[in-house]
Order: sequence, then C-alpha cells, then structure tokens
Amino acid sequence: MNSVTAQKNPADVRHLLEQRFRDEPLWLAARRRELAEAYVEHPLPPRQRTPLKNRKLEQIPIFDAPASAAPLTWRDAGDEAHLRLVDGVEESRHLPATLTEQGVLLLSLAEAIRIAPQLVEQYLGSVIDERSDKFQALNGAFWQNGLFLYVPPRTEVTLPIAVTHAATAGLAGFFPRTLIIADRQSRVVVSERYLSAPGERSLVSAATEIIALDGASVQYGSIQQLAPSAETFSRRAGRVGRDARIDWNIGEFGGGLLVAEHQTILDQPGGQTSSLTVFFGGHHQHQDYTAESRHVAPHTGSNMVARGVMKDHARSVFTGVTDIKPGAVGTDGRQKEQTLMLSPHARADAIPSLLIEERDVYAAHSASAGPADRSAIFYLMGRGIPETEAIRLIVHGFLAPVIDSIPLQSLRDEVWEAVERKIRG
Amino acid sequence: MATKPFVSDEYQYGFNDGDVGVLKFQRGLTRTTVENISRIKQEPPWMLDFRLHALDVFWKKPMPGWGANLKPLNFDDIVYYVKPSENQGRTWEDVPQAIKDTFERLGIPEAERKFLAGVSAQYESEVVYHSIRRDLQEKGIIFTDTDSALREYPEIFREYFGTIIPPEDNKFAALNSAVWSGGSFVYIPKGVKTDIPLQAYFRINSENMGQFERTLIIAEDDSFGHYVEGCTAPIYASESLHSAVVEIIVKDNARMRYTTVQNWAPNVYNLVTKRAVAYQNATMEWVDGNIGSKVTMKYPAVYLLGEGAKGMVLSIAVSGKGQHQDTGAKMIHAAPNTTSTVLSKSISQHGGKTTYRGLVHFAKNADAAKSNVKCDTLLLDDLSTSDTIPYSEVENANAEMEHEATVTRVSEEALFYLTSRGLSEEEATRMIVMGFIEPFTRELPMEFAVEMNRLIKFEMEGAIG
Amino acid sequence: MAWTRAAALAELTDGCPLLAIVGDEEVALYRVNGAVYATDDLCSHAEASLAEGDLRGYIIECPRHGGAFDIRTGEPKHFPAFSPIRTFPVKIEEGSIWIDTEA
Repeated sequence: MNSVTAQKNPADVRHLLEQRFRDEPLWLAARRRELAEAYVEHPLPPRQRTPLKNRKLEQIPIFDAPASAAPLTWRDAGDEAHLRLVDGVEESRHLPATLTEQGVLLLSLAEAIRIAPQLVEQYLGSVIDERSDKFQALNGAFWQNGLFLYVPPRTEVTLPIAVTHAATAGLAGFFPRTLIIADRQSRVVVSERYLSAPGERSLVSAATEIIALDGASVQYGSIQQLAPSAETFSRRAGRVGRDARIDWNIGEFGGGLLVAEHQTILDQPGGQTSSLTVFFGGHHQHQDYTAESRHVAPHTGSNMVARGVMKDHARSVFTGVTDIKPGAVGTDGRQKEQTLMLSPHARADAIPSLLIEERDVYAAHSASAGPADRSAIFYLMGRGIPETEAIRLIVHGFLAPVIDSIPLQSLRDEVWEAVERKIRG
Repeated sequence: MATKPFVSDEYQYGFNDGDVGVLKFQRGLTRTTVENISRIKQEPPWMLDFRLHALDVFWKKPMPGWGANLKPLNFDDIVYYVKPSENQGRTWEDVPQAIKDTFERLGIPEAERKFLAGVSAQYESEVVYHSIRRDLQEKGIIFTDTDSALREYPEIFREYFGTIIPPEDNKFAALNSAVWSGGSFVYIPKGVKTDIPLQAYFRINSENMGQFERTLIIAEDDSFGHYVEGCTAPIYASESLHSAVVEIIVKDNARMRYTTVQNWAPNVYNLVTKRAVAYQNATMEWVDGNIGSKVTMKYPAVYLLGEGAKGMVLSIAVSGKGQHQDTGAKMIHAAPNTTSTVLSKSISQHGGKTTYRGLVHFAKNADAAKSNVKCDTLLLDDLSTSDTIPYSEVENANAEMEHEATVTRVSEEALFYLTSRGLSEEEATRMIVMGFIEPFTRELPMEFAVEMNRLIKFEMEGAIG
Repeated sequence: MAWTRAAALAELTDGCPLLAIVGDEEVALYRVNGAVYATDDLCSHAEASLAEGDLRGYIIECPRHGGAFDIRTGEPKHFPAFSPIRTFPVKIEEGSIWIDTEA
C-alpha cells in the first residue's frame, strides 16, 4: 500500500505499525495503536505565523521503509560515553565500566524495553502529552529508536554523555525518541545531536523527555543540524522535582522548516531551570520556536535566554512563555531574547509573554532586535578587515556571551562550528 | 399624521419631534434599526449606504477568537440608539446607590452628577462652552459633534471618514459603522496651533458618552492640537455595550495628542478601535487611562507612514474585582527613521485581570526605525492576575526594537520604609501606587490629574490584604 | 525569466479572483476587461488570501480586515494595508496563463 495514502486511513496505519513493530510488550503496542489513531484524527497544528498547509507534508512517504542511501559520516568527537543511532539502528554504544557498575543505564530505547521495561513504562509519555498534537502523536506511535538514560540515586556521572541521532538520505520519516531519568540527588551532563543527509524531503518528529527527581541536576545540550530538506517538529519537555534543576542548551541550525518547543514544568518547590537557545536562520528557512517555563509550585525559578541571527530570506518566530500559576509564590521568572538581523529580506517575530496568576512573584522579560552595529563594521574595515570578516566578528561577539556559557566544551565547539558554517553559507 | 407608515421615503426630510416621540427603538439590531437611525439624523444617501454595508459586514464577521471573554454579550438584548433629548424617564431615584456614593466620595458637583448619571442630557456649563467656541472659531478650528460635522462640512467629512478604519477592520468597527451616533469632529487648519485642550467634556450633549461614538480628527500640516475626553467619575450606563471608533490623521510636521481617561461602570463592555496615521515628521500621542468596565479591549494604534514620524502611547489600566482590562498599543513603522515609544502601566487588584497586548511591526522599508516598549504591572493582592503578550515583527534589518516588561508586587522594603515613618499600610501602598503611575498622571491636564489622584485613593480602599 | 503555467485562461472570469499555486508561490489571478493580472495571494497585512476577497475594478479588497491593493501595481490603497504586494508579469499563450515568478 502506498504509504502516502495510508496516512489518512487508521486501518492502514495500524497495519503498518504491526508490520514494523513486532515482539513488543503489550502495553507498548497498545500505546502505539492509540497514538496512531490520534495522529490520523488530528488536523495540522494551527500555528498563526507558520502556515503548514502549503508545505504539503502529506506528500512525504514517511511510512516507506528506508531506501538504501550513502552512509552518513560526521566528525567524531571521540566521546568516551556515547550512543550512536543511524536510521534508528544502534551503531555504537559505550559506557565506561565504572558507570555501569554504579547502575547507570545508557541504552538505545529499543533495548531499554527489554532491559528496563518498568522504568520505560513508568516514565515514557509522563511529561509530553502525545495525544494533544498531531506530530507528537506521530512520534509516540512510530518512534523507531532513541536514547534511554537512567542515573541511579546519588550517582554523579562525571563524564559527559554524547548521543547522535542520524538519518541517511533514504529515510523519509525520522522519529527519534529520548527518555532521560535522573533519580534523586544524581547529576548528569548529556547532549544530543541531530543530523540528516540532504536529499528528498523528509519529515522529522522528535521528542525528548527529561525527569529530574528530587535534588537531581540535569545539564542537557542539543545541537540540531538537519538537512534543508527536513521538515522538522521537535518537542522537548522536562519535569523538575523538589530542589532539582534542568539546564537546557539548545542550538538550532538546520531544517527547511523547524517547529520546535522546549518546556519545563516546575511543579515541586525549589525547582530551577535555565535555558539558552541559539538559532541561526539562513536561505529560506522558517523557524518557529517556543520556550516555556511553567511555574506551579512555590519558590521556583526560570531564566530563559535566546539569541538568534537571521540572514538571507530566513524567517523566525520566537515565543517565550513564562506561565505562573496561582500558588506559585516566590517565583522568579525571567526571559531575554535578542535577534541580530543581517539581511534586508529576513524577518524575525518575537513574542515574549508573561502569564501571571500569582502576586508574590518577580517576572520580567526583555526582547530586542536590530542590525549589526554599522559603526563597528566601519571601524573594523578601517583597520583593513574586509566587510564579510567584520560581520563575522560581530556575529561572534553577539553570540559569544551565550555560547560560551554552555558548560560542555565539546558541545560549545560544535555549536561554534555550526555558526561558522552558517555565516559562510 | 400618525397614520403614515413609518418606513416611507416621505420621512427622509422634515421629521418633527412629535413623530419621533411615537418611535420607540426596540432591543436588537435589524436593517430597519439602521435605516431609522439614518433617517432621524437626516443623513445623505451615501451615509445610509455606508451604514447598511457595515451592517452586512458585522453580521458576516465572527467574534474575535482572542482577548477577553465576550461570550456573555448578547447583541439582541441591546438598544442601539437613544435620541438625546428623550429622557427615557430616568430620574435621580433610579440611579444605583453605588454610583451615587461614588459621586459623593469623589466630590463631583451636583450638576455634574445628574449629567453623568444620564439623568440630565445637558451639562450646565454652557457659559464655559460658548466662550471656548468663540476662540476656536477665530482660528478656523472646527470642533463639533460628528452628526453636525456631516451636515455642516460634508466635503471634508466624506474625504476622511472611514478611510483609516474601514468597517471590515473588525466586528466591532463594523457595528460602530452601522449604528454610530455622536462623537467629535475636529479639524485644525494648516499651521494653526491650539493652546487650550479641546475638551469633549464641555460639549452639551449626552451623546458624547454615547454607546457608539465615532470621532474623526484631522490635523493639517504644521498644526498642533490636544483633544481630551472622558472623566474619572464612573459613567453609569444602562446599556452594557460601548463600541467607539476614533480615526485621526496627522499630516506633515503636525502634532496631535489625544488624552482619554475613562472609568466605566462595572457592567460595561468597552470595545474600542482607535487608530491614527502620522505622515512626514508628524507626531501622534495617545494618553490613555482605563479604569473599571467589565471588559475593556482597546489598542491605540499609530501607523507611521511618513519619514521621521513619531508615535507614542502612554497608558494605564486599573482592573478591579471581576474586571478584565485587555489593552495595549500597536505601532506600525512603514517608513524610514520613524520612532515609537510605548509605556504601559497596569494595576490589578481585588482579583482583577490586566493583559497587555501590543504589536510593533517594522515593514521592509522601515530603515533606521526605532521602537521602545516598556510594560510594567503591579499586582496588589493574591487574587489578581496579569498577562503581558507583546508581538514584534521585524522585516527590516536596520530597525531597532527594544521591549521590556516586569510584573511585581508592592515591595516589602518600600512598604516597611514608609510605614516606619508613620504612614498606615493603606497610605503607604497608595503612595507607592501613585509613584508607579506618575509618568502617566504627569501628562494629564491639571484637573484630570487631581481627579485621578482622588480616584486612585478611592479605588484602593479595601485593596490591601 | 521563469515562466510557469498558472492556469487555463478559461478558468478565470472577469471580476472573479482565482488562486493558483505556481511552483512555491501562491498567486492570485484577476481578469479585468479581458486583461489578466497577477499578484501575491497573501495580503501583506495579515496573511489572508486575497483570492477570497472582492475585486472592484482594479482594486482587490482583503476579506480579513478590509485592506485594499491596486492589482496593477501592488500598491496599498486602503487601510489597514500599508505594505505593497508583489505583482507578476503575465503572458497568455495557447489558452493558458503564464506567470514569471522571477520578476
């Protein structure tokens, strides 16, 4: 059956599910079925500034088996603790013995279903409500593989963990899924990179859930460099336990279309979160980001910072949401968003919003957008530096304060490389 | 005479009050309602056509899917027109006690009270009004009500009316376009600068406070005007929907300031479309105070169409129990070197809700344009809420935009400092609130500022705890 | 020059705008007194479809907020439209309407 037409028919979609996912526990098979129905039923998510109808996503044969394609290579950072998945197949995985002995689990999600089924069943879907959105339902029904990371109580993982999700040009539907659980008082640093090879159009729907239990600390990094032919929907969500924290460092550079969201739920007292988003739009990219902090319990804090560079005919929409519910006394919620405009054809929309239902809080946001400082450019050119180089230096100066605050060295380096690539072309 | 059918062409001219007395406007809105309004006002055919077209648009348009909750609005349960000389039989005894108490507390003079309560259609300040009129006439300034302007200055009127806010703009602009009545018409000739504010307050007509006011202001090149309307006393209204439209044109090098302070009674839905266009090196300033009402939705806008144009919105919103102020500003930069400034201060108390909803748009040709928006909200108690949702759209690489917002409660330290110097907690809070809104009150004409202070004092009673 | 076929001439009637997808672009086609014109379909004000609006003479009115444009020049003619829309060169060949999207 034609996988394109199958997308409209629940019975056909179910059939595809059964073909593809065999020997899974009953609870998982039932979950996939339920979400597959939700996928077919839901209309395209309405996003006011990102019209999805004209992108003709329904023409992408997402359920076709991957066609053979050239292998994908990328510069290997030589990370000691790592997991690499290509087209949903585990290619390489390593965790030092000391960590395995302490009970740390670094597995592909498909493996984790066998090895740690209770943990997966307990936490999968506990932070993201996949039924509420078409592309989340798609990921929930059809995720091929992804990361499962579990850190036991009071365990400090001193080595950063690097995960790669890659798709070759032959994969039209790419659905990576991540589940990270940091048990009480644990600490871990983990970063994910998303890559795909350019080719025919593909649809990517990615989901990452992070659960930081009481007193835990998760430093999460993500760098996305998907091909321009990738139509991408990405959702990341974290739930922060009592006195725990999740820090996000996100670099978004690829995808012809990107609808991305990261959300932190602070529903236990003392929870903290910070997020740093760096985005760079070029060519005809359309990037629609949302960064959200939801404050439910007392004495929680959030600090969301974003810096973006827009050139060529790119368009970005950045929505920041600091949502403070009644009872969230003592909240400190801040947002700061800045965009550097490098071309007359680019467009940036910013909607930093504060939704406050509790008096005893401090909430502030600021947003600004503007061109590169012309006097700085002239000064540099006067020192013999060509204009393109001068602009490069200014972009560096603009992004440095945020990129340099990424704690993980290898992620920092990768982000700078991605920025350089975007500046050049 | 009374046997002639009402809806015949003969009634287009030469109505007399006796016939009107027979005519009773039912609740609800039909084509006939609109035709009658136009007939009573003896309007030219083009205005009737305009109204009827707007009525069609109103019926076709859906309710807005954003903003405050407008579900309780029942369009069939509203009277859309009241002839001003008709007293509706309301007496002072009919006025609710709460309103009477407010007038007492605010020290509103007896004569004013009757006017504000809709008991009297005339505000007895004729002497003052007439002397202002003389000054204006000497300068060539036209300041009259919209109905009279249509009759007396048809060419200028027709040239500008409906050009800034067409009926299609939104459902409530369409409604206003169909049933508008009252409002002001101001025309300031080239080079003329008014040295006194034009106060709608002094015009003798209860239609000033009408439900569907329509105001049109034209400031020719190099002119200057300051228009003031509203008052800080609560406006008692039996009809719960008030939907006004204000269109302002500010031509090259001219400057216009429009000051409003409105305090609607708590049953009122106040939905206003206010928009100005500013041409080359022109300046438009909206000074907007919104207090009370059940729901206010109002986003004064300036379209900066000429190089070097400047726009400013300075607004405060005070929202109390069961109230929602959904207000903001829209600045559209469609020319180079344009500047906009927005300063919005909101106070939520007793469970009220304030929302700042604004837009700054830099079009492709808005080279070297600059915008600065600052929104601050003060939450006075645990029940009150606030949302700040600013939109910015940047299509020009050389424009600069800055936006900042904070939401806070009254600071404990500041309170402690003042109470330790002998002020009661209530007085201390009041001082802090006055300081919070000072950038706004500083810009008001004196008598407004005085009333504003009294009003805040009154509104804040019971705000603590 | 990138001439792409947009629609059959027979599909377009006088005074009745038509939406055509030409490559990646959404284009509104109009016919006035026998001559054919083409503009962006998306209103520059709020992303509504002009092909769903009213055409009076050479003025197309956006159904969303009443903004209007001259279909010959793309110039905004009525509020709240204030930014121009693109127009495209049109040629008629063998009963088909061709648009140059690179202009």
